Order: sequence, then structure tokens, then C-alpha cells
Amino acid sequence: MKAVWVYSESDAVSNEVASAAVDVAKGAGAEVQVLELGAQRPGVFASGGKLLLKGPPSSPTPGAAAEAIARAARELQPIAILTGATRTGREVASRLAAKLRIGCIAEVSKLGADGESIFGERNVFAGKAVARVSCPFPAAATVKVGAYPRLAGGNGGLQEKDVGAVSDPVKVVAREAKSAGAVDLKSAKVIVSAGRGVKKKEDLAILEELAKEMHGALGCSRPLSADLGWLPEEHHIGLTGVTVKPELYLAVGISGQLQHVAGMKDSKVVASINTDKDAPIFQASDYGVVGDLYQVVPAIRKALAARA
Amino acid sequence: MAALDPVFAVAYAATVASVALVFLALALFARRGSVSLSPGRLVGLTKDEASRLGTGDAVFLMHLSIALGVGLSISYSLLDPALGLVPLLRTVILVVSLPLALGLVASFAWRVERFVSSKRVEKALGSPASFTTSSSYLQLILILAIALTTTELVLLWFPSLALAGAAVGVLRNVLVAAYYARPSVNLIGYFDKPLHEVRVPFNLADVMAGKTDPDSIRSGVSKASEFDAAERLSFDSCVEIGACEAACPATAAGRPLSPRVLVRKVSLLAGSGGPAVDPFASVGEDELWSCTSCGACVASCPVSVKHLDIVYDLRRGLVAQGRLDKKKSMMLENLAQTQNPYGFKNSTRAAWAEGLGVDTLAANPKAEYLYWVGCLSSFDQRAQRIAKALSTILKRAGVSFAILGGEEGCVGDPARRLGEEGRYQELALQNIEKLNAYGVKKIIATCPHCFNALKNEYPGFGGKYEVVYHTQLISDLIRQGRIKVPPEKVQSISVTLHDACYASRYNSVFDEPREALAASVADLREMHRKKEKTFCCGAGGSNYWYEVPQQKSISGIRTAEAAKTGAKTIATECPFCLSMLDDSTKVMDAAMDVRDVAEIVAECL
Repeated sequence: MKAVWVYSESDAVSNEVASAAVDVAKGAGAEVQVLELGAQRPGVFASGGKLLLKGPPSSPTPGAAAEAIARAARELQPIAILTGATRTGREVASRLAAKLRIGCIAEVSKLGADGESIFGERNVFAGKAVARVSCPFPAAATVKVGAYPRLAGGNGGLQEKDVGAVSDPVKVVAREAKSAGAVDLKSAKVIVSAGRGVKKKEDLAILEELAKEMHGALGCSRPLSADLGWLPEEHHIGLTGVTVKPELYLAVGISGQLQHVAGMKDSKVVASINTDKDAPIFQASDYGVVGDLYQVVPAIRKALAARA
Repeated sequence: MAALDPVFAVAYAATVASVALVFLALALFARRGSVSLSPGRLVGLTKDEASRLGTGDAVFLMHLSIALGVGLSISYSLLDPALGLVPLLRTVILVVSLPLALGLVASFAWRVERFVSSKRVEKALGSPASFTTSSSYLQLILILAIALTTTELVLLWFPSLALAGAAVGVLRNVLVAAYYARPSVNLIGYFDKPLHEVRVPFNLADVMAGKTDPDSIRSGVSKASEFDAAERLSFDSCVEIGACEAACPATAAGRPLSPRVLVRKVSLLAGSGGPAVDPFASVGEDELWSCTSCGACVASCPVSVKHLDIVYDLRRGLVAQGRLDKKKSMMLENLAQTQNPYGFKNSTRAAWAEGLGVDTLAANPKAEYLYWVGCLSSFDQRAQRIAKALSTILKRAGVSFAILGGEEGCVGDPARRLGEEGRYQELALQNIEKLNAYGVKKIIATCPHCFNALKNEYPGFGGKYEVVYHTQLISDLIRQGRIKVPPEKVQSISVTLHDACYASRYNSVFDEPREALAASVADLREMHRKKEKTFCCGAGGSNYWYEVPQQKSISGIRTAEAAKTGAKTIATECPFCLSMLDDSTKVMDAAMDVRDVAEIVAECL
């Protein structure tokens, strides 16, 4: 029986990728097999069966995972190997493609297959267009995270395959958790950004709260991080800071110099609050409130609380 | 002097020999550095130095005291046997020696102060002991030479101590021959090299035309042996005077750069190692990125060391090795892809002009002036007001002008200052092609970086235009009565002008903005550092696009100076200065507003 393999380092993503694999298997007349490396993973579900590869460590580096999967694939000949488009998943898929000399379609959703090839859709030109891509079997693919529901249950039989000891020249020396205050502005969907309209450092708390209530992250303009040191450098959005493009960017008390605008101009929707009606930021905004942030922000928070 | 006294005869012979040594050293270094010591050069230098007398610049006056003090004491000692016959000449020399001795005493005090602060800077930079020792040695020699010359001038007054005077003079002459002949040659050779002149490592047009073999091109320096003879003469001429360090905004902000230390490090490196010494082993990347290219170091150096040549060549070396962080490479990528360093769609360049009735050159090819807007005034919503204000003024004065709109591309200055000469020349050639196709003759600029490139650099690539800075044109229009500020429209505000480096220091434009402001505001105040002695805003040399570690911000230092005048408005003449100082007033919560000269004038019409 032809098989579509699924691998992800994360249980949740593995279950998403398994949903995608079901569509591919249906089109190609194949069955889905979810891979487990080194040890069994009860949190990982499969509509078809599971395949436990023995030999690699239970949380392998991307290099070791790719080597173990490649060894098994050379023997068992799956028609497709799907990973999640995470940092690790991308590396595993591209290494597999290179090792097995097969094609790879990247960051795809809406996957499917016919008798000869796998296909899917991916965003191009910064989301302005969608490209349909396909690749003849055998192929690798990385599946866009968040595009599929997680598969739940359906564990079929468990097969085992010994691929031998796998070593990776890359050794994990230490693991360190990100500091609690670390922000990931680049992936935030909503960003509340503070400017010099904020009078003192303590007042940032209300914006931090607002960001939390909007499920977003807190950013700032250059003076707040570089000159005043109110927020760490990683919060600084602008020409010499981070470049972001969230769904919603709320600029609070930011005048809107190019130094700042260059870092957020590609945001989908920009709203701003400023006391100065001539503030340049309004020209870069879709919505604007001319008003004191100390009145407007509490009003927004109240409205959000009422809606919740 | 008893001419036949054998002791004095020996002393005189020693004096003559030591003076001969000085001239021998001058001739030697001149030959090695291919510098001409022709009377023409010497007359030129004398004229140049005389013309700077009026500026009252302290470092320059001290330099002059030392040079003339040495010259006078040498003359005295050579003329000594004849002076008994011409008592008047002796009196004249003695009288002249008085102000020089005063200048020397001041130099001595200043030099001791510089010594102390130089050690502080070296400590902050973490300079190795070997460097500190070598630097202290040179500085002490300088202090000694000043002390000896002062002593000699004082001893002239006491004929009974003539022998002691001769001994002091001989020792000083030996020091001059050993340490100061080379800087003198450098000064004679390069005193008139303009600050805006950038060394051009290759000509892209020649490469494209096949006239230059691309394989023969070397952009910048990656090995210490790659500095050429002129650069070597320049950095080897550093005698640790320390004027550059005192003037440098990067040093003042506690960035990892002192122009003095940089030049001396490079000199020691090139002098010590074999041909392949890696300059980046001792010169840090952030050290080079800390420079804002404001030119205060070069302008203040009494012996014409060209620090900026070294900075650019080493930056080019970093670029050639791809040692650029994301911010810098992104700026270069934007320049290639969008013709502006911010990544905006270049077709939206003229958005600021919508509804203002400003023509593009395509629509009005007969316009007298092209207004070269520049990227910041095109895309920065705040700086767009400068472009709007200038348009208002020009329209009011009936000046015929047009813009390039979406056809304008970055002038290239950020790429050149970053060390990406190829990208710079590419942009320059593209722009020149367009300008020449339109037959442009006269250009107005509101950005001093554009102004400097268009005026001084483009001619070398085939773009020859009459380029005028907006403050020059505005002051002309006021003088000619083509725009008038009625008395009731004069603003009753206090204003201080922040001169932009590339307008004032690089291009001597500093009287015109003052004239324009004097006609428009009631109270014009001056900062201590002004005109060609201005202090950088911190954005030049591509610094606008990246950050370097620092103790305080350069713009903060400058804004504090402006605040000290008590003025409520800072007038700027450059969109980058405006952006930097505007941010700083907000950071400091200073109740000052920052506006371009054009904005202030336009409000009065």
C-alpha cells in the first residue's frame, strides 16, 4: 500500500499535518502513517497507522530526524513526507528532499493529490496572490501551520522499523527558556505601540494591559527604547529596530516620523491616537483619534471589557 | 655674541646643523610622499592660514603660535651673529615673540588637558597598554617641544643665557626633524584638499565601457598594506595633537570611536606588521560605524590628517567582505530595489505635492530650476512640510521650477558613506542620465547630502549642474525683494540655527540661512558651536539607518546646546537634522519646536 508520512516535532502540529495528509492520501489512493521517532508519542494521532522508527533519540535534532526518516524512506518508499512549516519542520523537509533527491513544496495549505503528484496552495507577493504549486511523487511538503484542524483519535496499528543509531554532528549544549519579558513582535497579529506621548515609564502599564486584552504585543518608537530605556531594544519598531506587519497596529502617542513609519508601514490596518491633529502618523493611518491617550485608552479598555 | 669665542662657534655650528637636519627631513618626507614643496604651495598655505586668522579658532591659533614660534626662534638663532649689527631687528623679533610666547603657554596648558582626557578616552575604549604607552610617548614629545620653544622665546630676552637658548633650540630642532617634518609635509601637500573630496577607488562607467578590467578593482582596504602612499603619509603624520578627538561627536557620545586613536592604530598597524596585516583585528566594526562623517576631525586637524579617507576605505573593506548587519544590508537592498533607502514605492515620491500645483519636469521641461526633493522630504510625513514650504516660497517669488517625481532616485550618499561605492555610482549614473536627458541646468536641494553629492561629486561622473542650496536661494530672493516679509509678519519668537555639517562645514553655506532667519524672526540666537564649527545631529554617514552602542545620544548633546541659548525654536536646514533634533526635544521634554528655515520663512509670507 502506498503511504503518506507525517512528521512533526510538536504533537499539536503533527495532528494538523495529519489532517492535511488525509486529503493527500485520499487523492492518491494511499494510507496515512504518522511517524514517531525514538519513542512512542501518545499525544500524536493517526487516521491510518503509526510507524515508530527505532534508533534516533526521542527528541532528535532536525538533522538526526531527517537522517532517520531518510533511511526508512529509502526502504519503504512512501509517496510523500509531510512536515509542519515550523522552523524545525522546514529544516527536516529540506534536508529530506536533498537526501532523497526529491522535490519539496513549501508552506502549503489546501493540499491534495492525484495519481502522480501532490499539490497545494501558497501565499506569494506578501499575501497579495495565491500560487498553486505541485510536485510529482515522491515529494516532501511543509504544511502551513494553523491551516488545518487537528486530527483527534484514529490510532490504527503500530509498526516498528529499526533504522540504526543516528548521530548528528550538531549537539545540543544547553536549552534556555526565553526571558519572560521577551516579545515576538514579528509574529504578533495585534501590536499596541507606545510613543513619547506616554508621559512616564509607569504609564506603559496601561498599554501593556491593553495589548494583553487585545491578544497582542507591546511595541514602541525609538525614543522610548534607545534614548529613555523604558522598554528593551527588542520592542523598538522602526527603521533601526524591528520591522513588523501585523493585522492591526495601534500607534499610541507616536508622532510618526519616518524612522518609525518605515518599521510598520506594511501593517494591514493602522489606527492611531495623538493629541496633535497635524501629527504625521495620521497620514499613515486608516483610523485616527485626535485625543489624549490617557482618556482614549481607558475608554477602549472599557469597551473591550463590555464586549467580552 | 663674541663671534670668535670657540664655545659660541660650536653652539652656532650645532644650531646650523640642527636646522639643516629639519630641512633635510622635510625634503626626505616630501620625496617619499610625492609632495611638492614648491614656493607656490608654501605661498598657498600661508594665504590659507592667514585667511583663517579671523575665525578666532583656538586650536588654529595655538597651531599658528607653535609654527611661528619655531620659525621665529630658528630665524633668531640663525641671524644671531648679525643681530649685534642691527639692534632694531633684535627688538622687532623680541616684540613679535611676546604674543607667540603667550600662544605657546596656552597651547601647553591645552595640550596637558588633552593628555589627561585622552587617557580617559583610551580607558573607555579599552585600548591595550602597548597603544596607551605609544600614545603617551608621542603626546609627551609634543608637550616637550612646546615647552622647549616657549623656553627658547623667553631666553631670547636674556642675552647672557644665549648658550642655554642655543642648547634648547638644538634639542627642539632635532625633535622637529624627527617628529614634525612629516606632518608639515602633509600639511603643505594637502591643506587645500576639500573636505567633500572622497577618494574614488574605481569608475563604474569605465568598468562598464570595458576601459577598466573588473578584476583589477579593489574597493577599500582589507589589509593594512593596501593603504596608498598619500593615506600612509596622512595617518603617519598624526602626532597626537588631539584636536580631532575634542571635536568628534562620536567620542563625545561615548561611542567606541576616537578619530585620534583610529588614525594612530592604523599607523602603528601599517608600520609594524608584514604586508597582510588584518586591520579589523585592531579596528572594531562598530568603531568604524560610529563615524557620522561630519568632518569635524578633518577640519580641526592642524596638520591635515584625513581621517575620513581611512574610515571610508575600511568601511569599504567591511562591505567587500560582506560584514554588514541586517539594517545596513536592508538599506542597500532598498536602494537597489526601490531607489530609496526606506523601501517605499518610488512612484509615490511626489505624493506630498498633490494639489499644490507643482509640475514634474516631464510636464514642464522648460522650468528654470529642478527642485531635487530628496528621499526624506519625499517620504517622511514631517519632512514633507519642508518641500511644501519651499514650493510656497518659490511660487510666491515667481521662480519657475519642477520636480522629477517618481523619476527621482536616491542621490546615493547613504551608500557611498556606508562604503558601498558601486551602489553609489550606479545610482549617480542613473540620476545623471535622467538629468542630462532633460537638459537640466539648475538644481535646488533641501537636503545637504543631496546638495553635496549633486554639486561636488556628480561632476566627476559627467553630471555638471549649477546647484544651489535652498537657504541660499531663499536669502537671494529676500535680498532681491522677490519675496517680502512684511513687518507685522515677522515672528516674535526666539530661534537658534543648527547648521547642517554638509551645508556649513562641507560647503561653507552658513551666512545665507542666518540672513533668511534675520528677516523672518525677531530674536536670533547663536550656539557656541556654529557655522563651520557646527556639531553633528548624529544622522550623517548613514548613521540614520543603524544603531551603534553609545553612552548618550549625539542629538541629545546638540539639543541641550540649543536649549542653553534659551531659544524656543531650533531652526534646521536638513531633514535629517530636523528628525534627530525633533526626537531629542521630545525625549528631553524640552518645550522647543524644530522647524526648517524654509518653513519659518514660508510662515511669514
